[in-house]
Amino acid sequence: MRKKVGIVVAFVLAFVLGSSLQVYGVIYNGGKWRDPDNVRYLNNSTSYSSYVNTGALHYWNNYTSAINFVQINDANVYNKVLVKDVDIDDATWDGRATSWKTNGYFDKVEISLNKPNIEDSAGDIVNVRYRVVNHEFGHSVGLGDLYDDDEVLMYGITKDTPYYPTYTDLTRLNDLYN
Amino acid sequence: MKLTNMFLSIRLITAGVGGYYATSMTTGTQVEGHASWSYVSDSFEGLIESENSDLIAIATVKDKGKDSYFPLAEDETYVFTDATLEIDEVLFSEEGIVADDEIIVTQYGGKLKDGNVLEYHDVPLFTKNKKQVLVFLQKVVEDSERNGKYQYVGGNLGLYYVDDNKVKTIVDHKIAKEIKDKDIKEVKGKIKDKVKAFYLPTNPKEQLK
Repeated sequence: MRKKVGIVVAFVLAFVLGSSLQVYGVIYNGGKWRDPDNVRYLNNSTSYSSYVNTGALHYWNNYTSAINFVQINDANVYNKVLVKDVDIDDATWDGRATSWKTNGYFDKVEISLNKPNIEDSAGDIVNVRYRVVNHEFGHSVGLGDLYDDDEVLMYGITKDTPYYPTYTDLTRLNDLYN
Repeated sequence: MKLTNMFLSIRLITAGVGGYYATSMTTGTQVEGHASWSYVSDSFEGLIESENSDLIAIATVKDKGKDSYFPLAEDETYVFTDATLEIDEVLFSEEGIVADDEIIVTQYGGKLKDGNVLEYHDVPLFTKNKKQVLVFLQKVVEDSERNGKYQYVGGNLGLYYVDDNKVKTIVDHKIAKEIKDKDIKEVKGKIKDKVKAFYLPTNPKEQLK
């Protein structure tokens, strides 16, 4: 009897452990793309258009082979990352990424770049602009914020920190897609 | 015996794998928000000194809120859900807020027009009433429904939970680490000392002890 109870408990623990691994993966990274070699983005930013393209096509595509951004011009494509500007003076954020996902895979992502707050940030303004753009692109491919290290791109608060994906960011990305 | 153990191991592994994939079969779409929060400070003292807070208080969630709204017609992901907090103790107030007053906090996130619920992973919506919190709030000045309500300073820098008289945090940023798991009395004392030292008294109703 005791042996049977022990086996049942072991089964339940194994099931719970398995499901908690999945939960941890989804919460930690917030999702991923089914086809990471073809992450389509639509650049609707007017104030930061060049930063958006350089961010995606240079800083992300050239720094990692885990994902590949592809620029598109067709707004009717559903599965894509849409990048746009907003002008919200009293918001407490510089950029944000909203992701829709089903079964852990992205359907679409919308990135909003908040111009008044970005332009009001301390530090080298060019670096800050890249920092916000690249950080939000990081969310768009599944990276969550880090708060225990401000020397990474994915630090959750805008500072004069790396404006490109660092080794830590890319290691996390590789872990997500490999 | 060896064969029995082998079969048992296989069954255990199968149970684990089954748990993993069972959890992956989520029902419906999940919508999540991540923000790059504007910089306020790297330290707890700096958070108080930053002059971003119009109100620092211990409060209890009276109504976690259920109706969401969109302050900006042109952005359908800019959604908020108002919560009502009842003030338990004021630590600093620009406008004469006192204990037992009720204030509205505009929480980031809520129900989108497509029916999905958008939640910010590091500033979650309140899920139940009667939760006690330590909040650093600023008044919203915006040409929208949010005007005059409160929002957390620095996004996730402004919200901390109080459980069993200890301060609990959602994310481990530098400021959170300074006060995480500390006794709320100790944290309140630090805030009051800093406020006394830094701000001129502006609240004639609420005397800082």
